[in-house]
Amino acid sequence: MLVDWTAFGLSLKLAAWTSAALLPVGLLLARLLAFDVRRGKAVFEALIALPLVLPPTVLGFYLLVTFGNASVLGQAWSRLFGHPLAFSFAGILAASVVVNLPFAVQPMQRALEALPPDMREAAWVSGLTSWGTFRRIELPLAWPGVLSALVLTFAHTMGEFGVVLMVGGNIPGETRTAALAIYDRAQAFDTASAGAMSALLLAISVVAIGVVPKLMGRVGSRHG
Amino acid sequence: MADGLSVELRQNRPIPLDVAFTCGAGELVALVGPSGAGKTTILRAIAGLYRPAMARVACAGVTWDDTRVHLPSRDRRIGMVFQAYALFPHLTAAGNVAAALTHLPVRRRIERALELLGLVHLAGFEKRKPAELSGGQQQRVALARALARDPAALLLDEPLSAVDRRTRRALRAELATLRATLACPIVLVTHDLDEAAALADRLLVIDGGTLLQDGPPAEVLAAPNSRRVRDALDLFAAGEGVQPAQQ
Repeated sequence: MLVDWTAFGLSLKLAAWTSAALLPVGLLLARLLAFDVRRGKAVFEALIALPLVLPPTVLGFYLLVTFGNASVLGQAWSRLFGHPLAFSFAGILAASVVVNLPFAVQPMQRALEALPPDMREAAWVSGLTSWGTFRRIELPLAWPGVLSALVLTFAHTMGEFGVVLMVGGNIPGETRTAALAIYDRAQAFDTASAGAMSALLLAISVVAIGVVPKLMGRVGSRHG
Repeated sequence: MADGLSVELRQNRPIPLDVAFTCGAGELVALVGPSGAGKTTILRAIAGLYRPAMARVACAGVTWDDTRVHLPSRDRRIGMVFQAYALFPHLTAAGNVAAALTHLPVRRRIERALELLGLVHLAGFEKRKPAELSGGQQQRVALARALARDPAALLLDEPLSAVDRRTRRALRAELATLRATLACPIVLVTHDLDEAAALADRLLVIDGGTLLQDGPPAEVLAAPNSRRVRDALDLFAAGEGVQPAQQ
């Protein structure tokens, strides 16, 4: 079989769950950074951006240590669920959420910051609560930016390699994603299979790159 | 004053403020002064959007600000028209007005929004989004939205500054008619001295965040109580020529 569909299915599942987890988490962090955090904002932004510059193996190593059975988190997880967090789907999902924080938070934050300040003030004097202002004004206006963040997160997760390998190993059906399957096939000189799967990931990336600028362009146009 | 608005704002930095005034129910006071005098800051402080070091604001017998209280804007029953209107661009005219009707049951909101749009002569425009409306029509939607909460105080921040001269004249006349029907205190910030004199019961001359003179328009314009007031009014009048229709 040219394409390891099990690995592709796992990548799709990981990308979907990562995007779903980062929708609320990313929005919460983006909103805090856009409107609430004043002191130490640059430090928080740098921390969130860290996965962009950190070598995936380094980040993967620290996450492996954090999730491993020697850590408090790893032990608590094992007691609760009966299996280790590292080398499991939940482990690579947690790692993927951390790795993708900048891909989700930054576009969401930019989209929220682009809202004219008097728009939020108009909502407040109109009697809307903070939640009401978010739900009825901020989110609809920033939605293209939020969608763009989700597309970026999804596409990036589909191709995630280093961190997944470090935290999840390469267990078929559990942690072997499409990127790892490509690596395996290339190592085995099966260029036809590696090529077919690479082409699929390339297509996904091209679509994402095509869609994101269009969505971000709509952030500005929605503000009238 | 039980139904009126009383305002006392003081601070040295970052924006100096030293004002104390009242505005009775149904009364319209105009804050006038040169650009950067602090007029909009005063309006924002009344609305709870800005918190000076010392603020005492009360309206209709309810304390909005004092040393221990700072009521959030959403709880102040404020109607406010922003300088650039700040309409919600993704909502229709009716949606913009209905957004401020959260105190009504959902099924009543659109009905009431349509009534308010009718009041500002915008019947038939309810389904249009702000981008599909002219400047004057946007101003009317902003006014309808401000009236939606049955406000305890109406705050107008240069409401006619973003429209052309002809529309401004028409809107000023409508505003004069409308204000006669309103029983709440109205505070108007304007850079147009004629507009202030035509609409206001009292002029409050502001400069450097300080209230310099408070009195009926004819009295203030005829007899400024100090050289500083005269200078502020001169500067203000000169400024009109420079920025007749601020965007």
